[in-house]
Amino acid sequence: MSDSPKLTLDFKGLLCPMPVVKIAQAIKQVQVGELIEAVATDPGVMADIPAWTRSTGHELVALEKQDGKTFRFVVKRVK
Amino acid sequence: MLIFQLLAFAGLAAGLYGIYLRYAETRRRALPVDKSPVKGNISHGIAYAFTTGMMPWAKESTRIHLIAYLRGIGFHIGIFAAIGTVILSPFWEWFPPLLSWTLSWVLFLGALLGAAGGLMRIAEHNLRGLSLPDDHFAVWLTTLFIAVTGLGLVNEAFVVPMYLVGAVTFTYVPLGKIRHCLYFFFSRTFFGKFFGRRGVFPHPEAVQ
Amino acid sequence: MTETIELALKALEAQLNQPLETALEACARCGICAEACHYYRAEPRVEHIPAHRAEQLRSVYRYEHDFLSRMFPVWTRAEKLDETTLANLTEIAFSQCTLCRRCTVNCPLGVDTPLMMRAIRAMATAAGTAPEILVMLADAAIEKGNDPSFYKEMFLEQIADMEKQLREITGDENAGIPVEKQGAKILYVPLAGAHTILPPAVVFNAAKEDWTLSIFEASNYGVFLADVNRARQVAKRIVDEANRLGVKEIVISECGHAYACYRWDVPNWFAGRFDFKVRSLIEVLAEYIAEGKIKVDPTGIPESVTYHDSCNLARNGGLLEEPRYVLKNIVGDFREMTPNKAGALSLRRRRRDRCARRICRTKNRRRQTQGGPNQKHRCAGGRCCVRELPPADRRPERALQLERPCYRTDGSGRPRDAAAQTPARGGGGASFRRGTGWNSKDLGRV
Ligand code: SF4
Ligand code: SF4
Repeated sequence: MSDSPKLTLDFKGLLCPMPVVKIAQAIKQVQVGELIEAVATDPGVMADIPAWTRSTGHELVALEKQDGKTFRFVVKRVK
Repeated sequence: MLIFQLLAFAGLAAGLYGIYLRYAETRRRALPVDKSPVKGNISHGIAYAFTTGMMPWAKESTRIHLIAYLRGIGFHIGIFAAIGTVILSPFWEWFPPLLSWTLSWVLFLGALLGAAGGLMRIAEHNLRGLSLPDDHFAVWLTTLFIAVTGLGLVNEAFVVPMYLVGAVTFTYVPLGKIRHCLYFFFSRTFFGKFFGRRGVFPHPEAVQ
Repeated sequence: MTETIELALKALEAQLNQPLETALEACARCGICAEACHYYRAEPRVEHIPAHRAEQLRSVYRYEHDFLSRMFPVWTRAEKLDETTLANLTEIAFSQCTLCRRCTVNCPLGVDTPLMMRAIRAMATAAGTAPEILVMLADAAIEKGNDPSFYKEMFLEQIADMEKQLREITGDENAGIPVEKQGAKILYVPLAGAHTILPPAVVFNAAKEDWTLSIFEASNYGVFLADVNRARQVAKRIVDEANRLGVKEIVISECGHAYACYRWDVPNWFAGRFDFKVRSLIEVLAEYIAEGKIKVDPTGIPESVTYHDSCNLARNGGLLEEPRYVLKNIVGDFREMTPNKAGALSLRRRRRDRCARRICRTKNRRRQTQGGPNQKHRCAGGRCCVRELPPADRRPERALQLERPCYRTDGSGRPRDAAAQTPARGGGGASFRRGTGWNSKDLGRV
């Protein structure tokens, strides 16, 4: 298990619920314990990604706003 | 002759009873109560569903398929005329000749249109793909029924076949696809309720 | 019988009420509904005839319920439900029908095909074969309702950012986006993302409306799943919010399915706890214009614009005049679609259709002279509608552009030429000015 993300994704320009849809698809491509990093521009992710990790049981490692326009988040596959 | 006539009436009674059973069965099922605030008018919606909403110009589908629509209408007029003719068979001798003559032509035309529908079901790719054996059987049975009824009206030799075919047709109504005649009323009523409540129909600029 | 099949059949039985049985029984298989369906229009195959779709469920229903079918299954193609059939049904109901009800309207018997497709969706959800992503989205939405605290702070932060933009746009230092305002008249429920918050905020402020923004989003994936249980839980968030704040009215963003959910379904799920008036934003806009609460520039959009109705707003909701009224007030050249060579006898009648999106016919000339990028038609909700457009209009050189109704902003929610915006005129009226629009680049991302 490493701390560097296995996948880095670009969700810029995608509107809700596409970031959640994409991350849900992507999580299947990594092993349990691996990380996915993504950046999005839709502020909806600030609520939707934590909600998604809570309801699916995956771990939200980081979620932050960058330069006022983009949002970066890191998710760890738990199961 | 009387025995065949009785047979036809027995078939009619069986068919009606079967339809009643279907009706009762469907009515036994739950009827959802819609509590959302009404936007339009439910009774106007139902009235529309059974009147203007049935007109050929009311729907895009019937505007495109006007011939098929008219064929269907002619066929169904034939069916109801045939049922009426058989029911009224005890009174045929009092029919004015003009009535018998007109009726027989309505029936022949209906049978012709029925046969056209039956052939379309076989020939047309989409319809063939959609049709069940039940559909093919039902359209030809009904067509035959209308045809022999028309023939029976003008030639006594066809009266017995008319009663026989009539008995079979009537009995088959609740069993196969012909029972859509009952569900037509349910369906249009629900249609009218739904679109009436939501203020879609009747609407001067209705959505089609 | 496996458990999956058992669950699916149980779900079918549970739903079998009068309207559903009627839909299952009434079809005469006349095939006249074929052209009504945009799937068939796009790909004229037997499988895309609405009745064919419905037949797949009927064969299962007949096997369970019809006397003749049980005796002679071949006679009516009755089939016992198995895994393959269930997978096929799931695919049909989720991927090949948008529940637009166009077939119903065009059927001589008024057969409610979408009702059957909904029944299949519920069967699939019960059996666990429904698209996982919809379940996931619904569950995430429910999670937000269970404990909004985990995102509320971030949400409020974003709203504060948007408020800044709002002030920039309107030039009004007092313009605001109230959240959780007790006793507000209107609870406005957006979709997630700025594009459905900022533009309405401009309007609400201009109209001096007493409103508050919902902390939840209007979409309800439980409805897509035909899963009343999940759908209720998703809706409950807003029902509770409205009750807590004591609002009078709930206004739903332009989303058709969300409007249908709150206008027509929620009152049935929360009888006694939900006596709010529910309106679409389009209705509110029309009212503001009619009452002079906002002033709009009637020539604000110089191009010819036509309107393609949304199934959920129009055919399933009766909202026909309002969007046209709004458009006629902001568009210099509003035209209803007229008959053309596409083959339908009257396109005038076909014009009112799916997806509440404006179709903006920007002329070739404009594209050439302005050197704009290739315009695409794109629709935020469903893209199905575009397939239905007459082939001539699908050609890219016709430069057909679908736009959001009534207000146009770029992805950030900020009007493209915000600097050129005149501040509110005539007592704070919002102006729907030329150029405050989605440009096609933004559309490509929707
Ligand atoms: S138009 Fe109606 S009755 Fe005819 S095939 Fe379609 S759904 Fe069935
Ligand atoms: S509801 Fe719409 S998409 Fe579904 S079958 Fe009917 S016409 Fe086609």
